[in-house]
Amino acid sequence: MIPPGNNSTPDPQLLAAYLDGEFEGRDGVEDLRCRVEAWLETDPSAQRMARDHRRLRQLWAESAAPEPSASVWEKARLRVQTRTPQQRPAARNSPFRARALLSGMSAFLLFVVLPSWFTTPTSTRVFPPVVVGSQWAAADLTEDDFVLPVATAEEVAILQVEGRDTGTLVVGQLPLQGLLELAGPEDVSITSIAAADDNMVPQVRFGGRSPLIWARAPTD
Amino acid sequence: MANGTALLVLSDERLLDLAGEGCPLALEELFRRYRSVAYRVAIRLLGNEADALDAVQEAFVKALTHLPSFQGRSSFKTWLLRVVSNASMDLGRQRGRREALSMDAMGARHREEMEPYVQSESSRGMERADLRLKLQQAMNQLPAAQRQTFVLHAEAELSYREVAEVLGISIGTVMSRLYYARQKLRCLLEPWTKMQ
Repeated sequence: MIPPGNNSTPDPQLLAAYLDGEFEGRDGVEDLRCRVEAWLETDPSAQRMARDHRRLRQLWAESAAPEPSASVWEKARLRVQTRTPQQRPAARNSPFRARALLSGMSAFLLFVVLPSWFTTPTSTRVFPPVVVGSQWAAADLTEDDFVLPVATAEEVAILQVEGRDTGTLVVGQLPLQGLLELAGPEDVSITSIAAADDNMVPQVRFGGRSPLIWARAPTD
Repeated sequence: MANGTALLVLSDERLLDLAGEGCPLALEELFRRYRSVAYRVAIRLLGNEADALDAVQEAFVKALTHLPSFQGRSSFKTWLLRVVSNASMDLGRQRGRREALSMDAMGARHREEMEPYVQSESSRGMERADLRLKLQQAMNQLPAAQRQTFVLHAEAELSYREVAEVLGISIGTVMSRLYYARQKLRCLLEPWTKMQ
């Protein structure tokens, strides 16, 4: 019904909005809705407009183009993926699961193994941990990373710690892997080999990139 | 965690986060979710499948490349559709509007891609293809702004508010453009609209 005192015909644009469902679930449009509904109920021109509106909508739906096939979509997706620059190269190069696992292991090492090692009663030296060059330190963990628990503190016994002579616990690889090359073959010339005072004779081996010179340890 | 099945249940926002971190599966899922609506909008604006596919790809590349500038003020869908509709309008202007369903003008690559459509078309019957052609011709006679507004509402099923957001105009302007677009389409399609 048209509200009393308001006999004006609603704007046809409002009728279209009503037919498009724009009044649904909206506060403050009750008055408008009543006016449009009353108009639609009583005026043949409004009914004709509504009929035309629905017919056009029907034609539109009937004329929808068919979807591309799965193979066409796949080609399109590949083209998009090829042309889309990666946002964080490091993360993209490593498999997601491997990253999560590494994060989990790092967190486990930092939060479970380290505390148990530093609080063990047999430990005579207690010093704060210094993390040097850790790629997956705790700071890298976000709330979206998850920790994969692989063992509890009670289940872990540390038998040996690499780099313990450095006064720090080395997490990850030691800075130097393999031999420290001090000189190349062209830097070394051997003029004589003689026994030392303790009668030890240095052993010399050539081959590969560098000469190896070492002395046999004295035996008791 | 981020395997293909798990991604199906993630929100767009979460997928965008993962995509921002370079997760290719997240990009794939976003593409799968919105490729259809993007394509439907593009084909209504451009009139042929090959151009529509180009526009969709262009839009996804643009949208995904500029993920950091998407600040979540709107939904990803409306943001993407803004890019799709603009890309389609640009492409339409660049190439000039071709006659709908004109296979002659297409290159070899596009022709190969169109084969599935052609098969599909014959099974649906020529009446629907004819209707599509007429409707496309009528659409091409609308002013660009009306055409874009009408397609975003009728094809992408965006509300007036969303269309206004996508195009950066007022809701009143959306209503007005839709009204005049419909009036013109009804006139141009009179034999069809009177058919019951």
